[in-house]
Amino acid sequence: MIVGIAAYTGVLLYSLSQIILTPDSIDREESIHEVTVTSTVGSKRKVAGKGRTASIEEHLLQLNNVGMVKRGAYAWEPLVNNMSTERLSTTIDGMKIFYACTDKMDPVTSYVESGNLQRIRLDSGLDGNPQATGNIGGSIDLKLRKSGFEAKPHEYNLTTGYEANGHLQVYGADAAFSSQNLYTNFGAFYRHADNYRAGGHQEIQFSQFQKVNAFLNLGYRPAPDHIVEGTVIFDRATDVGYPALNMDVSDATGLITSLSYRREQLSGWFYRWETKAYYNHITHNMDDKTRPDVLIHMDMPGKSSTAGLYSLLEGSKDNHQYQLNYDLYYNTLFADMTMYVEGAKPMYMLTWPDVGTLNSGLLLADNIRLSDEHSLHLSAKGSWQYQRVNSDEGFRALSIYFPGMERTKTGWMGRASLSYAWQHNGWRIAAGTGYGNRAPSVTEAYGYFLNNAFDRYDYIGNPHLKNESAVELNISGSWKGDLVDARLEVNAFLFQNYIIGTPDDRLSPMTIGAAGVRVYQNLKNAQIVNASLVFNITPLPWLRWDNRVSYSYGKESTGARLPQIAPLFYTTAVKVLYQNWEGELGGELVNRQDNYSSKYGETPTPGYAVWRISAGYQFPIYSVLANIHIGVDNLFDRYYSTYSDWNHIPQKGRNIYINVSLQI
Amino acid sequence: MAADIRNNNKKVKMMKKNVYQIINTIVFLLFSGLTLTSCKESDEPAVSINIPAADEECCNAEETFLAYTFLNNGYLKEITSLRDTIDGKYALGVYSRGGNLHAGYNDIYFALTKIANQGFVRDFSITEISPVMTMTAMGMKHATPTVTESVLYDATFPAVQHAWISFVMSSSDKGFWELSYKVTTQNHSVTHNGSVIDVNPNAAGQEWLKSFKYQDVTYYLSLVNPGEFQTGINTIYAYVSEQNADKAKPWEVSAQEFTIEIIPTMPDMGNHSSPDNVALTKQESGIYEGKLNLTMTGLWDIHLVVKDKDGSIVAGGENNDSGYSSLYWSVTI
Repeated sequence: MIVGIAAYTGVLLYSLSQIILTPDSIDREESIHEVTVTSTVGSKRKVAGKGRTASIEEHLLQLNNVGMVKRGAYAWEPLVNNMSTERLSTTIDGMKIFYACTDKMDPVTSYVESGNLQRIRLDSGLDGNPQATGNIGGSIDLKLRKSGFEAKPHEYNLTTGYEANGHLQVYGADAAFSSQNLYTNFGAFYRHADNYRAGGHQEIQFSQFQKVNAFLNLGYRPAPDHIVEGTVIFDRATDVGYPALNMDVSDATGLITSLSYRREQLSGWFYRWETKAYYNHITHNMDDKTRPDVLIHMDMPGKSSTAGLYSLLEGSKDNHQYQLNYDLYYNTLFADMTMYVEGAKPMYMLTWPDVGTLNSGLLLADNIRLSDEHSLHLSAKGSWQYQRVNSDEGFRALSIYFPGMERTKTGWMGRASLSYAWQHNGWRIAAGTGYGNRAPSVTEAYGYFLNNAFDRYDYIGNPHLKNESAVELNISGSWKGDLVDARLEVNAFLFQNYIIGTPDDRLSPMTIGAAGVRVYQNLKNAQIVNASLVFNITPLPWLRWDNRVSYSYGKESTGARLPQIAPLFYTTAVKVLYQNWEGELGGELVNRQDNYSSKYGETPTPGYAVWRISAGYQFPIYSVLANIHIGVDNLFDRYYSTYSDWNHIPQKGRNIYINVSLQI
Repeated sequence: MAADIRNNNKKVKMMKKNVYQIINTIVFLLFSGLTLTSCKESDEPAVSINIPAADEECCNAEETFLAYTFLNNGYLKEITSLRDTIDGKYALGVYSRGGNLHAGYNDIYFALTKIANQGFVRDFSITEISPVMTMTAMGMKHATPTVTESVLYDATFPAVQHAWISFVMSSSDKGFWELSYKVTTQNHSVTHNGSVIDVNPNAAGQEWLKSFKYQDVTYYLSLVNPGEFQTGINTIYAYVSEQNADKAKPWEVSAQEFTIEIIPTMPDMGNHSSPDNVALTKQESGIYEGKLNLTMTGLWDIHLVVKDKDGSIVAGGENNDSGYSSLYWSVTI
């Protein structure tokens, strides 16, 4: 599989859009989507679009079925198939990592940098990457950029970018050294932004941020086919504003480490065996000290640490290609809140009561090539989980709402999926199904008075929740010709015991001005359906016109709409790639969101159309390969917000950007 | 305060189960180590431990040990001004948390020792407990909610008697408190007359004694265990006392039976409240008991609605600005 992806990477680089749908070695493009962030393979274009100056979120948005919840200019929360963090798995090179903010201000994608990454792999639905757990909507794996033993002996990159709107500055530098038995690459990135302006020059207060990121990869090959690799990433964001919320982040720091051992070219049933041990730690400090007119200031710090390991065996035999993965992790989440009243003792509560989660899972996956035209893919994972509320105080507090609750909880969860594909003469038809469940997240099971600025409710977790489960059905048909490349995809998720917060009028909110209290409950059922049509035309070798239309639908058992379901969406882009020049004119046309969920606090979002234009040129100066890229986003300075923007926070107005990268 | 004492009491009870097995060890410990540690723990040598000879008046080794550890648990201290002796034979020590008294409910403990052998006396009683405040400016005297007689604190160690006083106000330049009591053992007794005691004011955000008038009688609601409260489900205790017709005579526990409904709110958090609180009802011992749920630390107003046996509101029915009863205790946890 990896071999297949690697082989493709070179081919993929022709793409201007950065949307790279990578077929896995055996015809799985329907479920695996990838975006190449940077690539060191081949002599082709090194940087596409904004390249490394783009944030991870901007890269992710290139993928099908991905949306973003934006609470400001920084740390957007990915949505896949209209499902957010709880129903997704996000891993970094297979490592589990959990965000540390009770208000989801720090999705784990915010703790890495584009410069850290080679590519992002997205598996839609229940058929996740081997380490993914609880992935009903999909799984994202961020693949780190490691120079490897076979790369150039030394390579240096300098990247800089500037965006006029918000004075965003990006500076990055990294170096890579490779030899037969040793490689290393390391680098550092810095981003700084002031408040941005929405359409019509309206300044969005508290939308500034600053971030530093440094990474180091080391590889050692003591003997042929024995590879030891280590990674350290340090990421620190400071002074991050969240205009859609009442609080900002003074400091969010992540330390991500791993050490792995890999055997290649094994004989017998398996050809590769990789075992990795990892540890990561996140501290997140949220407060409202910088906000004016706050009656009661509060601090809401959070901590997350995860230690784990996985061991992955990959092999092939006859027409089978299979994977066997074992993973184990232990995560602790702690968050508290202190509120300061003048002249009185501060008020204190635990919002995440120091919850320890031990999870262990076993995955089996097999790709079977039945013939040149028919193939099957199967995967199944079973996991066991133990959870404990470690804080006495937090346990006592939750016991008020759930008298007699248990302090520990154990359970099984799993997923299984099966898909079939037929392809012939450029036609491809695939259908798949899956069943899986997930344990409630710590917020859903043990969260304590977490205010949601979106619907203004305080949320209380429910330790008695059942696992949420879903049946997935997907079908797709595509045709790939010289001129036209078209694909229609439909997927449906039929949930049982869907977890969502429902109001409890009996309870009194804690947050001043809150609309009430919601307690997470299992709804009997819910459905999400996503459909998309991609239609690309390549009339000339240097010209391409991409189109995508998507529609989504979400409903729960009482008939009410689910929140954060995308409206009718159309994106279009004309792309030119001529010699060393590239150019793009693109637009995003979005229908008014009429199917908003009033039950869950949503209000309608007006439709909008935003346009962008960009041009790039790549040229050598002696031994330096230079790439310059200029563009304008939101060309007509449209004032708009998307359906998923928290509290309808308006997005960036016209934004002129330029970025330059040098590779030596 | 009561929390620590109760916890200590629990500990003591737990210890009792094993005590016969380990009594020899204890005796050894008493000789070897405890005397030393006790000296370290308290500033003044309150009671020096003594292993009694066969003295019928005095406690045995186990009871002595339990009484000694209780009185020297680190929380209690003697109020030295209230010490007294009976005929030069017995010495009485009066204890409270930290040796201090404060506005609102106070637990008070008494221990009598035989001067000859320093053994704890098993059988004694404290009666005629009478706290009186003299209002110097007005030349008036008044008492406060109190019990007048002590009861045995814990049957496992008959050397400690318990009583409580709930002070309606603290000592100040406007008035001073005096406490009298009578101690009796073996037909000997002495009346301790009017030692001046210091009653400290409570910190801001702590109001543990409230009153209401019903059928021309003034009732006092003393919150017993605010120091025990923590985030979570709490057992809440209170006493209802009534003012004596003769204001200077002790205001004893009322024979009336009420139900006290409670609604805790956080005034600083938009009157955030908690669910599932259980009204205080009168127990056999005369104490009122209920369940109080506190969702976080900070200042809580425990709003009270007092009802009679028929369920008619007696007090606290009227609302204050917050929409909750204007009769409330305040606790800061």
